[in-house]
Amino acid sequence: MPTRKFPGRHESLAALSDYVSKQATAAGLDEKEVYAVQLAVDEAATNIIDHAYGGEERGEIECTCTVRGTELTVTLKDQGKPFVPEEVPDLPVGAPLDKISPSGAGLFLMKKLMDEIHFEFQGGGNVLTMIKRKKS
Amino acid sequence: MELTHSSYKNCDLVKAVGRIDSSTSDQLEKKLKEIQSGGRSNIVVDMGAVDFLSSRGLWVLVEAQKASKKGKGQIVLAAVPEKIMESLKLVGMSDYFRFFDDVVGAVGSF
Repeated sequence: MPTRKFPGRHESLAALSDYVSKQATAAGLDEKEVYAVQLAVDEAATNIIDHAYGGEERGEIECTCTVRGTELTVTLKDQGKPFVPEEVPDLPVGAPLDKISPSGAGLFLMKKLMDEIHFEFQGGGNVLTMIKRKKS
Repeated sequence: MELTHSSYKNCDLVKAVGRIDSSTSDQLEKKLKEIQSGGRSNIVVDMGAVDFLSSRGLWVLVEAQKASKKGKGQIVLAAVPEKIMESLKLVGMSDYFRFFDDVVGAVGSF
């Protein structure tokens, strides 16, 4: 169960992406599935930095990847303020160009890209668990 | 991410290379605004060498498209990798752009 900690800043995203990409590849996921995991983790980590911590350099992001057969579980932990997914507005998919806003795009993508996604607040921090299974 | 910018008679071309995420999307936003503030609204973004596009980067493109449309022009996307195209479609953002398989076709469309 490899775990790595990343400083809570946007510059960490590329290293975090490389890390989960290697784990997803080890789980046997194909190129598109690996990209889906990278994108979901990037969106989640960006939300942690911008919303849970409220800015850069205010805490760490702990990432644990578990490979079980052809299933990858990615867990992201932070010590920021509680994240309540129900409070995130729905992405206005299909709205005219001049009416769209970015709110909710990250969470929307995470839900669409992963097979399972769970949020918990425990031990004074957020624990996000995301699961991706190999399809083919 | 690296950006290169070329000007043609009827449009500008911005080639992005690498990751467009919340760490790098500001560079792209700055470049597109710089072009638009010079009165040029027709812009081709060459995505052929982009290996990652987060929602933040996508949003930069959408906001730039709004600005270009106000200037009676538009932003078109060229050579978008399939995996990135799939994520654009997932969030419904593919409806806001015209897509071209290659840069030559995109530049020639203006």
